[in-house]
Amino acid sequence: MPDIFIPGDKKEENKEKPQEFEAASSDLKFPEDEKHSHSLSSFCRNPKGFSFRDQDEDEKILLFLRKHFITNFTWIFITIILITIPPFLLFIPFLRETFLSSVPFNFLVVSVIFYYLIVFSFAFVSFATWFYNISIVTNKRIVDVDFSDLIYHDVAVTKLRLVEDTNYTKIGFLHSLFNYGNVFVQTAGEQAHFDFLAIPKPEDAVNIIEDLIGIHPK
Amino acid sequence: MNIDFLNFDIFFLFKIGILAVIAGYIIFSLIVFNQTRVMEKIIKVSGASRVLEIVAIINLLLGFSLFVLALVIL
Repeated sequence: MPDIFIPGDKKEENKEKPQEFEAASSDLKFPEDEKHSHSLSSFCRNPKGFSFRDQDEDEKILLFLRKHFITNFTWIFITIILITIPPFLLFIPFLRETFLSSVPFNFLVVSVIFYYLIVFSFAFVSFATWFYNISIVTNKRIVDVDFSDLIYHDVAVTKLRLVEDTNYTKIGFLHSLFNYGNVFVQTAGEQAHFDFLAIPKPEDAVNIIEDLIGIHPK
Repeated sequence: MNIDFLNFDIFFLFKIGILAVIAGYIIFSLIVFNQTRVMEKIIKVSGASRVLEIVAIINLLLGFSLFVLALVIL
């Protein structure tokens, strides 16, 4: 049965509880990843030099996650192929004698520069998409920043006490070889689940989040 | 088909087409720059965020430069 009357001193006890948990979570220490704490890190405990908008003064980033760097391989490979295409075309005698000789030189110059500008843009947008797609676990909440193709970005936040369950999957040869996978966090909040895709050491990330959930009672 | 009687240069049409495409690229670069700036405000990564913003500006400037170059030499 719910208590209708709560004595004054008991009320104060109840108020103090969340603060106790808050303090406890901020005391939670994870070993620092000094080796991996740089701007291109994919998995970083207690990172230095990272902050996000709306971060509280007493809020500490415990875990910083981003897709594994190996996931950049596809766009890097495509970029290298695209860079090497025009010089290869010059070595094809048929093209050189027919198409290239019929196009005025100034048109050719502008076209080649424009082509390389587009390749540069493709590489830059791909890198920025990887760079800004991050997930942050603080002592208070989980922040998931989704950023795709520079036309869409979504920042989702959930408080740690709303986290209900976490699990991870590591399927496939590359995932096992480079030790990365997907972490799924289910919450009782508006956004039912947070997906951290292709992050390194998914089991460590799940352990850290589970430790934090243990501190925060539901 | 002989279109000489129109006194029409086919390369003039190409020039207009190339300029239009480069103008489209400049608009795209502006979006890229704007989004990079927005993201830099959301996430601050010491040093690197600023570098991305500078690269986005360079990309925009290159687009403008190419537009001017195309206007002059074509």
